Amino acid sequence: MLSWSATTTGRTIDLRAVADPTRDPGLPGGRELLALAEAAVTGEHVLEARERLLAALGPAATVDAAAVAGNFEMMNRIADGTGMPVGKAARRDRAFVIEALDLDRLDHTGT
Amino acid sequence: MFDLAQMDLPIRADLVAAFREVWEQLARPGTRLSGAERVAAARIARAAREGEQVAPSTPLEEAAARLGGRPWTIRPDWIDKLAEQGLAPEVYVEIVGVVSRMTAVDTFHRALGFDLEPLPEPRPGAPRPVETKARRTRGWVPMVGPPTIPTALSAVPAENEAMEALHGAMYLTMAEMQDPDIRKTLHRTQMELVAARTSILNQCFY
Repeated sequence: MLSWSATTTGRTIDLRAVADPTRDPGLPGGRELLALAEAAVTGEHVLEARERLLAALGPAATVDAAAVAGNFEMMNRIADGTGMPVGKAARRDRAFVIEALDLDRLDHTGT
Repeated sequence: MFDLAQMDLPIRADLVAAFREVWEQLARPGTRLSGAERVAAARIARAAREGEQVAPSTPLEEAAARLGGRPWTIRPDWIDKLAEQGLAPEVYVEIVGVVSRMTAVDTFHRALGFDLEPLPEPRPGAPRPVETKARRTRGWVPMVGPPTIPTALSAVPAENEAMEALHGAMYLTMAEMQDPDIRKTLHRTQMELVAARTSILNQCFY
């Protein structure tokens, strides 16, 4: 979805930042969004991440970023809990992302 | 409940309403579980997610703890084992729904440095089973139709509908998801950056 949205809308993004947040993803507030997502999942450096995102994108965007992180904590559990398969076509379409981020290590559905 | 107007950030009214609805659903009898069982599952999942020591003593508790704390370790043989121990697939699906929605709400609070909302008191009453045409195909649980995210919890329609409603409030509705250029306070690409980072930290391939 990230690569689809970026490509379709003509935005250039460094996808490697998803796995390596020391990289700049190249979006407005990108580093700060990555930090908030990490704080949401780990519970670490929460106030620092929140203040950085507030400064970068403002309060309404900070609230919405927290909501998106929450939504994906839900969706990750649903996908992992129900064994949601990634079809061959989707896998083919996302091949460069899977390779760039070494995502095959996370594929449990074939096991 | 969810008195977020007191917080120092502008929390959208529709988001607060969605969170209150999640808590209401949590407390009410479900399709296969009582309100007490649903709240118990949420309590165990929350403890597991927060890194507390959890010692599950029933299949329901085991499912809730794993879904809350280490969902990436779930495998089909484990789900089958729970079924052999008496946890019917539809009950397991209901637990997936309950735990995942509670975790979404908790994560929102955690990300903004808010205290977690106390879990609700269970409401009395018996669950109301609903029969569906769900069957197991390529996924690990029964679903109505092919396995996709919108049908993931379709063996328990109330859980599927609740997931869609919260998804719409916290991220995008299923219709909005078709738009790669949608902008709310964040552009779609910024939303997807948060989604991708969250998912990779959760070791979720999907």
